[in-house]
Amino acid sequence: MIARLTYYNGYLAKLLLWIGGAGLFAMTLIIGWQVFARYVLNASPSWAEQLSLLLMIWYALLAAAAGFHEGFHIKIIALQAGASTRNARILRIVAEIVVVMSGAMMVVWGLDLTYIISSHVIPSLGISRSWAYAPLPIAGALIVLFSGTRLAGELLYPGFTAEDEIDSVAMPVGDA
Amino acid sequence: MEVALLLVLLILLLAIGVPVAFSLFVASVATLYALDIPLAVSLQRMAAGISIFSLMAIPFFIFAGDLMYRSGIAARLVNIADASFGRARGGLGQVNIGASMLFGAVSGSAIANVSAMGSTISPLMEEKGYDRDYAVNVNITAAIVGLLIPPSHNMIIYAAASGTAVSIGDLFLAGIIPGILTGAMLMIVAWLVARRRGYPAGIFPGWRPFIKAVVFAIPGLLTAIIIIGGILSGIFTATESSAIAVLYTILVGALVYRTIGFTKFVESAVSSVRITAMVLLIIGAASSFGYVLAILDVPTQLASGINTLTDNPILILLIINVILLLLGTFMDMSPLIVITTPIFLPIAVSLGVDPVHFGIIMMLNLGIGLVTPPVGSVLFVGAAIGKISVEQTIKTIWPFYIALVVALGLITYIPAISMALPNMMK
Repeated sequence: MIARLTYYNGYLAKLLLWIGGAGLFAMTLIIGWQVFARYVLNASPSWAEQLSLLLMIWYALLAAAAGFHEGFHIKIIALQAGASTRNARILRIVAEIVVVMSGAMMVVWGLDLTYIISSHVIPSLGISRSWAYAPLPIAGALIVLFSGTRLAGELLYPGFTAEDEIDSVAMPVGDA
Repeated sequence: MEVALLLVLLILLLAIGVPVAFSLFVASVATLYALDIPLAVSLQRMAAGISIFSLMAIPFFIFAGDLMYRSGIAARLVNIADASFGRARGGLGQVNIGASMLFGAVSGSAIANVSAMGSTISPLMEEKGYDRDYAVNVNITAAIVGLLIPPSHNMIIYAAASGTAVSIGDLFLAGIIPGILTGAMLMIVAWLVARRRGYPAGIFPGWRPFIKAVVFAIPGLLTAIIIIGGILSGIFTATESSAIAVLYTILVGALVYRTIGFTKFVESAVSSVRITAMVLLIIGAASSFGYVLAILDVPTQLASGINTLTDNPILILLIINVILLLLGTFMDMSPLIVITTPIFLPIAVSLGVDPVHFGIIMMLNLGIGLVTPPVGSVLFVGAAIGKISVEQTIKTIWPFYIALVVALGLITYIPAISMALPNMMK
């Protein structure tokens, strides 16, 4: 059950990242178009930057959610690595619970914010500002799904989320 | 009281292994709860923290750098550096540093730099009898130089976090001489260590391979010129220039180098999205955290605290540098930029430090944090690529740390190193 869910989560995370890749490329084209329009067509499109920013917020948050399946978010595992197998497992469980809770907070307050802001309009696009907040609860729900699966897996099968040390060291494709 | 809650909770969450972004977020939420402020504010600040136009340059710079990396430019940059510095004692160490500086002009990511150079030069160094610890020491400290040499997406984060109108073009220009200076310091140290260990000098490969490498690398290195030139001339905004750089690298990779096909392109886009997502989530959470710090009046109190301690600008800058170095040893670069810029920049400005100059100090300072234990992403990745343990790496790294700290001191106290170029362009 958990194994199967993890398997499907893997596909979902991949899909989210592909959507992200497409979003990044679309964003490149939009800003490229803006430059082209300004210098060649002599008309700067007013919507380009705003649309591009909206796109970035969407794909960054969706891909960030995928990161909780893939485990690419930066974290400090020194304490886990130094602890005994049993204590390391407790630390992993507590950390995963905090992540699930964070995802849940994103869902609840994200929905609140999306609702509160719905009558505001993004001027250059003419659409509701809710569009800028909607990815928060969606990403939150995905994080609950991904981290919830990991948490359930770890609770049922000790060592389920234990990381290969070399892997976890080579993984953080850091922001630096 | 609430300050203690915020900081203790943050350290606790980081220690148990909660990802940095959510450690910042949850600590802020708990503190808002203690302050009886609506909790949804934390998420609102997070959303606001990433809804900033100038931040769009971050995914573009990461994408352009990643495409360049995948196009196989690293090996050519090594060839150029080899022909230029290879004949020195311990020539491959010099080559590593020189090539890292060139790579810094293509990509602003220290991790990409350490991976690109590590995987290209480390095998060569091992073949020629260099010790692994030396190879990794040189490789990781040289990667820091790429943070100073434009383009550098961390400078974009700084410009956004500064809240004032810090020009990204000025920051990029200001980083060039400090980058070269830091690289030169590392070269001196690498030479001294190589001489003591008796590493061989390289043989000049002749002009043909050099010219071949330059011809190959020029289209790639032009990216930096497009970006910097575009911003400075006012033809592009920083965001536009970075997007144009992506389109340009796609063309160069697909048509000139013919090394970027569809599969590699998709891989590159996905991998850039991963890094972007990670960075933006941290920036968002860090703005939430910074907001709580501001509510608690921490920046003002810390400023007046430092002011009662001393009013000597030299000492104050020293204190700021030491605090940043300490924070940098266990925190990553981007959250620290977002959190500490609003705290320290006003202090620095009140001492007459130009915000552009302060940004350069911060880049190198926090960059040093990336190669120091207990937590340093560049150190970890570099050691993993160099196939030795982190402990072995840091046993012999101190001469390189000294070079970096001396460079930091020079850059901090001689503003002209950073400001000469931007002032000249005005």
